[in-house]
Amino acid sequence: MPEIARLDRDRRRVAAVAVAMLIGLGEPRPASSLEQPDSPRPARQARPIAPELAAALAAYRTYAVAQADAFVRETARFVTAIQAGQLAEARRLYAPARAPYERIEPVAALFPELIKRIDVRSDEFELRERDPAFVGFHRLEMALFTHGTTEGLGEVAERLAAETVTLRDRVAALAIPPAKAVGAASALIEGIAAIKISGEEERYSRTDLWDFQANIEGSKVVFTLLRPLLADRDFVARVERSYKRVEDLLARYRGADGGFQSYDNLTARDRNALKGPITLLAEDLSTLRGRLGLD
Amino acid sequence: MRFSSPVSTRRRFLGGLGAAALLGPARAEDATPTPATEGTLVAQPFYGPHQAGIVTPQPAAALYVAFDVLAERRGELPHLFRTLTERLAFLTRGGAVPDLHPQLPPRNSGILGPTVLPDNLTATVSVGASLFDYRFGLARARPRHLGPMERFSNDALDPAECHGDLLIQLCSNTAETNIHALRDVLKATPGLLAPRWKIEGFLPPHVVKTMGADTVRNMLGFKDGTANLDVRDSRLMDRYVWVGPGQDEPAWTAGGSY
Repeated sequence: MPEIARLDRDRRRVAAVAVAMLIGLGEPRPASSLEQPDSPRPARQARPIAPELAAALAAYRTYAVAQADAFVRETARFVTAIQAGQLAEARRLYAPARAPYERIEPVAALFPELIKRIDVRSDEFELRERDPAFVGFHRLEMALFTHGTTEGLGEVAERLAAETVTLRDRVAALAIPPAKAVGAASALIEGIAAIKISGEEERYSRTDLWDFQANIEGSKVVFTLLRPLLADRDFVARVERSYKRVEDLLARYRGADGGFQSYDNLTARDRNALKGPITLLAEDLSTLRGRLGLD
Repeated sequence: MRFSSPVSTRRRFLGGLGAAALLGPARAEDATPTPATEGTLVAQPFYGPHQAGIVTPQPAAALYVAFDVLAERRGELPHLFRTLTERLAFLTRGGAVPDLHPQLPPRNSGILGPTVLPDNLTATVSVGASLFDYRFGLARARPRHLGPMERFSNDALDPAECHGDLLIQLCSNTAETNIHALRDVLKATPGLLAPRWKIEGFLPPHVVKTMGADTVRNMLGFKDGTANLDVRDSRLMDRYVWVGPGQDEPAWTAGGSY
């Protein structure tokens, strides 16, 4: 398909989604930062945003809300398995429950106090795993994968399910600041490059590759929505090549059931092979805001 | 411990400064080092018949960083080495940090402020035996005596801190200058280099003034290097330090060192 026709098609698709959003859902209400102490102040954009960019951002917001919904659903299934004492099922549902959250992690990170109850790791606490504030997914992960039990997890699991509903409500009410939405593309990759590539995220279940896959999917959604607005085709081609290299490498670690192998199976050579395109992606995507004229 | 009279110390320091500052910044206000700028304006030449940092007087701060080369094809290597050359030449010369468009992420880490001062920095690049393996088809270009580092008795080796495809030795007056240089190199080579391990070292700051005239007491209480060859004797250097013609080495290694 010729370049110009594809650009037009993409623009029309984005505009159509945006129009559908505006008709169906109405304008999003800005977060009322006075009532909710940990919701962010809406960013003040100095100049009005071009309509095509606004349309892309609106489409991203739709996606983020949909992922927050999926997060509630998948976590509920996970929690049900725990409360029914089904250890194997709970283990199987752990990583898929996290995937929607991992796709929109930078948006969720706008609510740090909430994330502290959903996704906190034991490192943050002086008492480490024994700290009573160590709750959420990783607390359950430790019990399921290291201790091999669902005993005594009822309350932690129930609270986690409730927090995902709160997160969904917050995301649905939020006008995502444009710079944050655009920045999500690089933030997701930077998270892998700076932190997760060490394997410290899913230290009990070793399901880090699931998280990487979700991070990359989420990053690619942002980039794909913005692609029609990017004039530099070499840049676009380079970014897409980097995405493909990472995806192809991860695909080699898929298991027969469609899931991923343990992070421990990732050879040092493959980890190095990941570092290259991940770092290049992070560097390239960090220029997105500047390329789109956002502060 | 040798005590030099203030006059002869100053003569040696200026002597060093004279030789080293040939390619240093030539701005009028820098001509006379003040106590505030002393040392930071000293620039070691990057280009020359040999790499700097080998017979250069010992520094007050050193950083050794080994890398894995992430390039997947031989064709990417020239770009890697040209980028390293360009960045290290700038860092050892000093200069203003270019201003990018304010909406783009900064190019520079900002550790040294808006102007990078040379601060006596040398950056010495070396290649490891593993670079000449099956990946890039460079086997026939491998220096004759270059092999993987062997284990010494009493070693307790951590594999994550052994070997590497490429090593850069950064030496200067201060740790900040070395770290700034490392971050610059990393920022310039995304997808090509991944740091593997690093070791930092230090000597008392007064070695900057004596510019190698003293041997310095180390952390074991020993004066280290008293029997080193005199680096000012070029015949000795050509015999024992530099790779020369007639040593059955690939041509590209001439003027280099193990």
